[in-house]
Amino acid sequence: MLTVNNVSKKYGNDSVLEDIHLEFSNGVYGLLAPNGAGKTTLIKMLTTLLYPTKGEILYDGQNIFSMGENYRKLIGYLPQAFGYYKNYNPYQYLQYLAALKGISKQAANEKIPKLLKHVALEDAIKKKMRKFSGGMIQRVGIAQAMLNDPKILILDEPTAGLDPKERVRFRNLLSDLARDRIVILSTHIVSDVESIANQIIMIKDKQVLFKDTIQAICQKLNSKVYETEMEFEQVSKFRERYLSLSERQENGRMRIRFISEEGASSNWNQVSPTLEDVFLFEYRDLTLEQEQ
Amino acid sequence: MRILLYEIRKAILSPVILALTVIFLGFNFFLIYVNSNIKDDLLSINQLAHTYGTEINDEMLQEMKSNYEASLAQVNDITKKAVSKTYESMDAFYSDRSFYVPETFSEEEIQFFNYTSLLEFYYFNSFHLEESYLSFDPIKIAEYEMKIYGISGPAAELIRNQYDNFVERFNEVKDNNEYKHLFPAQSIWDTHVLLFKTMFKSLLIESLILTVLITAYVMNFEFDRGTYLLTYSSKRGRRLWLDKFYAALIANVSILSILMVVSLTVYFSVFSYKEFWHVPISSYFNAGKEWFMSWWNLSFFDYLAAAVILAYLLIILFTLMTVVLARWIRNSYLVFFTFLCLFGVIFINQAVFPSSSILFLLGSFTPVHLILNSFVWFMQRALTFTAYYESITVLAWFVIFLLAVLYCANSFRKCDLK
Repeated sequence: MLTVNNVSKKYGNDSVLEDIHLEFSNGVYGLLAPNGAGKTTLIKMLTTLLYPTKGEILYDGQNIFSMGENYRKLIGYLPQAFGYYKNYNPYQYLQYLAALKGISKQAANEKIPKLLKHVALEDAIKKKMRKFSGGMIQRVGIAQAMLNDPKILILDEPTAGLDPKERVRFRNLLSDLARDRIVILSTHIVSDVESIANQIIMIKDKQVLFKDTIQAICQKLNSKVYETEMEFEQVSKFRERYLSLSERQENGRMRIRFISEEGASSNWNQVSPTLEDVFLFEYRDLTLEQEQ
Repeated sequence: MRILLYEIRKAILSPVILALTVIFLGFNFFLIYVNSNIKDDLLSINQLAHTYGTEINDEMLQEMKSNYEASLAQVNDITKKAVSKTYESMDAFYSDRSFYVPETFSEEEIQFFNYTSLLEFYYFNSFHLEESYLSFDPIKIAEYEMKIYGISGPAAELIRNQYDNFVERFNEVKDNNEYKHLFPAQSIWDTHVLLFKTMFKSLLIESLILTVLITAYVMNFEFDRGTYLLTYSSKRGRRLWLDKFYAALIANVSILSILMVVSLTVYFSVFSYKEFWHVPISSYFNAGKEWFMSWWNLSFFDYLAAAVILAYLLIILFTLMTVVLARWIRNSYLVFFTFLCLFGVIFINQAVFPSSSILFLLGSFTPVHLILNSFVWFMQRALTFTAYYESITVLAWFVIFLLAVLYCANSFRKCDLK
């Protein structure tokens, strides 16, 4: 079990995370928050790239920084900005990373072609990575993260650059992998996690806002999410009063999904809240700030 | 070991490093080529040394004298027939402008004249060797050097305190006859300057450029490519920094070896030193416009070996310096330019101190001054005043930068990689 125990992180005087407490056992965890909320900082601490200013991170009761390579050999990590060597082909690059991960050359020779096939790159095994599309690079990244058959798989924005088909393939891949390991998937795209995550972790104001199942998190907005139709000219006035979650044109009118905490009107249909609704509701101030 | 090889491979296969190595080797060949006009003379000097031995003594002088006189008589026979003239010396023959030598004499005769002329030069200089050597005064030379650099006050006193050592070594060279050996004459062929200034300085500067580039390139490879998050979170972790340090060290030493071995092999195959490997470097004939008397009794081979070892130590030292810079500057090109600035600052540090200050003298105890003055390594000089100038400089800077590298390794282990 991986435990984040009252961890805080500051860069100089700027606090990024405060008193974070989390526990991870086998399964997929979706780390969901807008950009800049501290997801990557938390992930970098889990991968020993950053040291906590306060608190500790334990794996099976042992501090991960004291465990050193005994901890790092258990992790597979795909960073948000996945760097690569342009003049290497994926086979060479994975060979190098295998050496860093302490995998023997022979074992790597057997494993790399299988992994590249797994991420549908078997035809590009000897092709220089400079010629790769963003999606292909990301798939190399996924392959390298699984190279050491990690007990803890940490993926920071892993679907960036993947097309819809690749996203589906990736989600299926993760579901397979999550059976006997901890998978932490950081994203700001709700659809990436809502179908596969056992639990969702949301960070807000430097602290953990939720750590729960999707159903439990969605309960927070029970009886508050509605849909209604109105004329286009009424929309702007309506938006000033209610938080609009989604809008689409239908039969010459506007169909709006929104949140109301005041109680229902007769022409409103109450609907079941989704994770995206909660996300938009919780981070509404941040969204407004970003829009301004 | 596998990781180390991967890191070395990155350095060695870099197109910039490969291209520069080829360009530098080409430049060294060019230097050898433009100076190759002396190679035939060096062959003749080797022949001379082979005939008479390199040690100058009465027996050798007697043999040289009789051969010289016989050769001169033969020259006069030829000239008498050709131009109806005889000469007291070869010097007088070459000073005669009444005929044009290449048109008047055959190629074979000209070669004989040249050999006799060489014999004359070495015979007379060897004959007057003792008085020529005794005309040197190490204190006068030191005072002259101090005057040129405007050294006065405590700095001058510090140098003068070493005069006993200067004189002691001068007398030692006299007593053990180190100076009494044949060697390519510095005053004519400038071979010491060609090898230890022109060639060595080029080799050192070239290796220095490659050292800084390779070290910065290897140490910052992951930061330049954005792969550091992956590599330093792998099982190997921050120890990869040390692997990179060792890889840079091995790559730099290898590149220096390639440049040295290739360039010096070509050099010695063009300029023959066959008979002179064991001649003391403090031979009188090696004293030219500069005063080349080593602090120790070193043969040419010993001196060359010592210079090569010092070159390796300097390259290792510059690797350490670059590693320290690369720890804090995470862009290889920026590291290179910062190093150039640092090199310049160290070079001009003496300008900060008055020339009467001891700090002015100590300001030359730097690897930068060493690398720029390879031709006077281990030689007696007022400015460097001690026989241990090279050892003190290298040792002091090694201690400083080894500690700095240890500190960097430790700080990198504990730093945040954002």
